[in-house]
Amino acid sequence: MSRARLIVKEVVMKRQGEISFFQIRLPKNATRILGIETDVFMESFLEADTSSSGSGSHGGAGGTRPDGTVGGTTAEVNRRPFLKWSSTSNPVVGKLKLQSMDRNNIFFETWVPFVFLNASLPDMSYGLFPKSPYSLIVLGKPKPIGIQCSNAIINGLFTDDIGIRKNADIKYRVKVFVWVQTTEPTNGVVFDFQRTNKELEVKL
Amino acid sequence: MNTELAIAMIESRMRDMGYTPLDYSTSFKHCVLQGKESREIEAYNEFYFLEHDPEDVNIKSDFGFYDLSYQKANELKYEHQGLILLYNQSAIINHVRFIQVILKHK
Repeated sequence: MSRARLIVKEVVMKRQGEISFFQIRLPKNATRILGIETDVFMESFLEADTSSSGSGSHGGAGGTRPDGTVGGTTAEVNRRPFLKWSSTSNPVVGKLKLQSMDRNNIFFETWVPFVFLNASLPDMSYGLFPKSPYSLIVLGKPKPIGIQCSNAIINGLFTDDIGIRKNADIKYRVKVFVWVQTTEPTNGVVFDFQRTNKELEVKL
Repeated sequence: MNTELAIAMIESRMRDMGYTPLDYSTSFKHCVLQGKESREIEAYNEFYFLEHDPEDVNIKSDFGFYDLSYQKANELKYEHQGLILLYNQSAIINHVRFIQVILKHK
C-alpha cells in the first residue's frame, strides 16, 4: 500500500454572499484522492438568536411567579443558540464544491457547518465499555472519495451562506483537508479511514 | 474570452478528460434573453463554454459563476456544466453566446 498524505487548504471568507474560487495543489506523486474533510474557524462574533428561544428553562419571558409577579424582564441570553435551529441560527456557513480536472463536473459537494453536533462529547452511557452501537455520537472523519487523479490541481468553489442568512459580513476561515494517496511506500502506517467498515466495527 | 480561445480551451479540457475530437461534437448556441428573463439549461452531460463577455447577465451552474457586476466573487468562470441558470439583469433584450460540447456515446 502507498502512503497517504494530507494537503490542507485555507480559504478566508469576509463578505456577505462571497463566492471564492480556489485551487488545491497536490504533490506530483499523488495518484488518488482518498478523502475530504472540512473545518471552520469563526472569527466574527455571532449574537445569540433570541428570536428562536422558547419558553423552557433557557428562554422565554420567565413566566408568572407564585407571588403573581412576572419575571424575566432582563435581557435574555440564549445559551443554546445552535441547538434550536432556525434560518439564522443554522450553523451551516456555506457550500463547498470540488472539481478535478480529470473528470466531468464536480466530484464533491457539501454544506459546511461550524458546529459539529454529536462530535465532541464522549458517550459514557456504557461506562468504560465501548460506546453504544445506538449512539449518535460520532467522531468526525474524512468522507471517502477514492477517485484517481493524474492532475496536480483540484479546483474548489466556496459560496458563503451564513452571511446571506444573517444579512451581515461574517469573517471565517474554511479549511479543506484532502487526503491523497501517493506512490511513496507506507512503512506500515494505515489510517482509520483507509480501513474497511468491518475492521472498525466494535466488538461487543 | 473570444472564439479562438474558447475552441483552444475546449480541445485542451477534453483531452485532459480523455476525450479525442472524435468523442464529442460542438454546437453554437446563441441565447436571446428578454428583459429580466431567467432561463434554465440542462447540461448534465455537456459543457457550455462562454464565447464572449456578456454584460448584465448572471450565469450560475454546478461549478461556475459569471456576473461582471457582482463585486464579491474573486473569479468568473467561462465553463459551465450541470444545471445552468441564466438571468438577464437588464430590462432590455440581451444576448449570450455559448459553444456547446456534446459528448458522444462510446
